[in-house]
Amino acid sequence: MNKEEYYDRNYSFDEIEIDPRFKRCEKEMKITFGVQILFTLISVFVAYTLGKGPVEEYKYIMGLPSWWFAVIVVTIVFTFIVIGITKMVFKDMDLTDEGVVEEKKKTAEA
Amino acid sequence: MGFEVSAGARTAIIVTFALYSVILLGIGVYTKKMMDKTALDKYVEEFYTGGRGMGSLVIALMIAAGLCSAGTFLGGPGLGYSIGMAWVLVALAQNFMNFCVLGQIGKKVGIVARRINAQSYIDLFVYRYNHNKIIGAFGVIAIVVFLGSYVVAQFVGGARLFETMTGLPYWLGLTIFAAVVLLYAAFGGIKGVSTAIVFQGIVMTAAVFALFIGALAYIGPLEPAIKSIAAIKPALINPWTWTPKYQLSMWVVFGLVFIGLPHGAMGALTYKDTKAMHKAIILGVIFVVLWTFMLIWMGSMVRAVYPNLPVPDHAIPALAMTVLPPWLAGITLAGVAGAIQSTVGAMIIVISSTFVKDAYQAYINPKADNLTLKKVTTASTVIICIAIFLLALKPPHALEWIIAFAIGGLASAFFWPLLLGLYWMKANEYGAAAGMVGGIVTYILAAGKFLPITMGMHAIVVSLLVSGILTIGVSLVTPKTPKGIIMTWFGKAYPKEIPH
Repeated sequence: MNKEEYYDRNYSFDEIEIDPRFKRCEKEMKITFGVQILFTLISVFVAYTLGKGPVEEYKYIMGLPSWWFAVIVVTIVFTFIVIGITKMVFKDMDLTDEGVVEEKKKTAEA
Repeated sequence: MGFEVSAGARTAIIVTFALYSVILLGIGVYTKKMMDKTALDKYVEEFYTGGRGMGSLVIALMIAAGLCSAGTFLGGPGLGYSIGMAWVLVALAQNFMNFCVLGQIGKKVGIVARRINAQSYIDLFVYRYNHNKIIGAFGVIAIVVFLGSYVVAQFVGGARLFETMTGLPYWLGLTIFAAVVLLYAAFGGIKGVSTAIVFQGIVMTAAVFALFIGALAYIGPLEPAIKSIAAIKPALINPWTWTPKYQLSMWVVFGLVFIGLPHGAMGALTYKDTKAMHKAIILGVIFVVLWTFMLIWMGSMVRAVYPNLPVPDHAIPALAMTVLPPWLAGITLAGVAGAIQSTVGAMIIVISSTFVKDAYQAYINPKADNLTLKKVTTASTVIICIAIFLLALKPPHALEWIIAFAIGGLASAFFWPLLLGLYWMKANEYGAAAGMVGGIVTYILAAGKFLPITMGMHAIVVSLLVSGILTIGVSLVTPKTPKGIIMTWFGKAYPKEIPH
């Protein structure tokens, strides 16, 4: 690629064939943001719903105020979700020049 | 101080801490020997990114222990003590930091960094944004000022704690802290730092478990203990102490902007392959969930033991002295030291790599040969350590404020330009420069209360908003990024070299 082509600023993005690995990266990025945002909203919602009202009237579960107990449960559930996504949804890929997205299960069947 | 440290306990603490420091010195000497054997033409690469060959445990702890600092061990529990459960709830936002960093940018950075041979966080910006001088210079200054002040604050926190728990002078604690880090960071590079981080992560985990179990046994049944805290001040147990709006904005600070933090994103530059990366997510999530939950929550529970500590940051040390036998309390100090040193080590590598790659090589001496580069790498790392040591000798006040300011400032500058640069072809250097400068300026104006623009939320929300709008808006009305760069960052085929 010569200098002129490299620094060309009048081109169409359609001229570039996108590496399928990058499409996969983008998808995983969106999933990650989605999970973290969901975790945020659910935790805050649960805490502020169950934690409403006078502190003297809090219900206790296993020695903890119910809102805090529920938030701990949410954290545990999301820990499993995060581990599950990492193991089952995220895909392996070769990071070097010849790399492709690996389809682990399909190759086993084939 | 609010709690007692007996002479016998002091001796036990000093012995444990000395042992911990000696092991780290050993790691320093060992990795220095390894680095001495490294071929000259590979030295800078090995020094800053370990030749991109790092395994899962190292990456997991580099992100987890790199991001969990004095904030998680001292300041965080301190806020749990003074503010209460509204803050403990916020702390949970950081639970999945490894998942966020590696899931959001890990693979894309992994591929692109191999294409462009990126050695530093700022390298990514410089290459993506067409070697723009403003972005390069701004990145270097932001890293040095914000990470630099953060590192100073970390050392100050560590040395103060050392002083409190051992009765030995502040300068001695600081000297030990700095000398240990200097040895393994300046001579072992990222290998020294990461080997140390594995050891530190294990010590941190041991300390957290000892403390948690000891505290639960000491405090006894939880319900009466929590009710006794509620009797002091009901707000300590109530999430409504903070409005839901403010609470959510704090979750943005501590949960959404990790990729804007250079010392956390280092993991994405150094891991070996995606299998190691996936394992690093799982391991890291387990470590951070345990540390955060146990430590920050225990910080708030200390109220049941000491209702009136004059220094809230002493919550965890006070708890350790009370509920643990002296030698285990010593491990707690070592754990805190580990949290501080692991963060500082990662940051020093970031500052040094930014200086050598993006200031020295980019502006001062672009044609430096390998031997010169090796010397400059070592010398600049040593100078950075010494400068930080000298600044920490006369410590600036308000540790937690500086930390919050540094995190917010960096994240405001880097979050959108990095994320959009990786995933949006239209992002260009004009947009990124506008977004970086606009983000940081807005943050300083908002956080420093120069302008009343926070709308009852943490200042980062408005600065991220401004930075994002500027990056996108300016990119849309200015020319596209040069084709060769977009091919490298998005294309299947790409130019192997930048033509001159």
